[in-house]
Amino acid sequence: MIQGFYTAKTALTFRQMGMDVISNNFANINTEGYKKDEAVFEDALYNLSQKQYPGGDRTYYTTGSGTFISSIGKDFSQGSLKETGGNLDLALNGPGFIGVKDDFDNLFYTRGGSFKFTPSDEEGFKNIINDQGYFLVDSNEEKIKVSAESNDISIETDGEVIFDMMEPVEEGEETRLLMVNFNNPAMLLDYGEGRFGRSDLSGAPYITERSSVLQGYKEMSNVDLAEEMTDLILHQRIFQLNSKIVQTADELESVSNNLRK
Amino acid sequence: MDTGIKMLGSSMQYLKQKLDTASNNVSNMDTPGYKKDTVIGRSFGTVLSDALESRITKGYNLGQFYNEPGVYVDEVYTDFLQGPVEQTEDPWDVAIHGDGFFTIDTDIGPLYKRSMSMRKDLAGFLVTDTGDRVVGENGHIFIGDNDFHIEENGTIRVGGQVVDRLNVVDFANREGMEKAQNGAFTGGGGMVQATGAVMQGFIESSNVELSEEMTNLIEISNKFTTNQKLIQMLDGINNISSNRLGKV
Repeated sequence: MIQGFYTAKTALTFRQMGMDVISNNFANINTEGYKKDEAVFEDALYNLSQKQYPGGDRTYYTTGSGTFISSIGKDFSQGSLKETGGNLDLALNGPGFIGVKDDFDNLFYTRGGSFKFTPSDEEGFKNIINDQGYFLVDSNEEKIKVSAESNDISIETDGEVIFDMMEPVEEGEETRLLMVNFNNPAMLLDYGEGRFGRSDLSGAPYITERSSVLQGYKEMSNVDLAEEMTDLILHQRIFQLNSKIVQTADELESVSNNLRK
Repeated sequence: MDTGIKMLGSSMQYLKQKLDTASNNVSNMDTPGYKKDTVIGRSFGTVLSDALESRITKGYNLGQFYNEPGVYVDEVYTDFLQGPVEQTEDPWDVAIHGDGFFTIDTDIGPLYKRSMSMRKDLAGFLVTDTGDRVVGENGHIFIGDNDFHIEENGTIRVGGQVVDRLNVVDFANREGMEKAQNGAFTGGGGMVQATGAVMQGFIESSNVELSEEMTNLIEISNKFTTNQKLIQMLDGINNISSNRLGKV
């Protein structure tokens, strides 16, 4: 059979997948905190063939078997920051994540978002949750609680939480946001709504001080329209050309099949 | 037996190999660091004279060359011509302008690559997108939680401090380099220090020429059909000799 037929087919399959990735980026161009996906293409396995010639000498040569996507990962480059003035709108400038947790103590990581106060289980306190109902946690992975009467909260760039009517704390005991990063953030699990979770491939989170928390800002998506557009056109063209190859390979097969009239 | 049909058959097989190779080139026209392949044929003339020569010098009988004429694949030649270097502005992308290959450490030993989209593995070492560690002059390269900068000669700096230098090598015998998957090559003979410049924030695109591949494709398709028609003609002649000669 003609290998070229299947070789071209791999390009059709994986470029299609590449186009799915691009269209997801397009769809989320205005989603706050969205991080674009990126597919990396590589060439696939090579088959070694051997030919023997009259007279006894041989040659070896390789035939490629097409292309494949070696990984689809998140690109966590910084998105543009938009000032909102909201007291509990948080964004990160620099690499990393801040921790949030759900009602069942499952920890997730996010780049920020809009938060608001909610009454705490504990009398006289309130917690901070985001739009999807996830609680902001401190560096000990406990829900951050502030006094119920307090209205004025400020979050320093290093993640320290200060609110009015706060009891004085000793140095080193300040409430701080959980700010972490991963060795391989591209392989974090994407739970949607700007939430990420650790996976075996991302590694364990470690505390980082390389990024700053901005209060009153939101991070926009890092999708670049022009880049995605040119990528899409390129994918389309490659798809088209490879479908031509499939056609030609099919023609050759048909010619072979009609050898005998 | 009719040698003509066999000859044309070998030509069709050769064209099929050309299509397989062209197809792999077009599939990988956007694979970073991919180098195009070309099929080199060994012509009928060469095979004929080889056989004649061996007949004379080694005393083979004539029958041997009558049985094996035609055109064959001699080699699949990889063209190491520089591909266009494109800016990505991603500090994790590196390419080489000029001669040379990056060294990576894989399950099957060291392999060599022209262009890399790097990331960190769980231990904080630089790896390729398929998870193979990048090799520097002092072994694997540890980056940890830091930004890094790569100079043109491959020196890696973290905050001004030199950490290591990328092991960029070249081979005197490029023909000995075989393609492994993931855009990597096995080593050829005669390893030397490379002269090319390392470029951070760039990738090298494939050096596949689309117009060349497409014209090849048309040529393959037409030649294949010509061969088929010729086989049919010879078959027609055979048909006449076997079925009509005796008739009045």
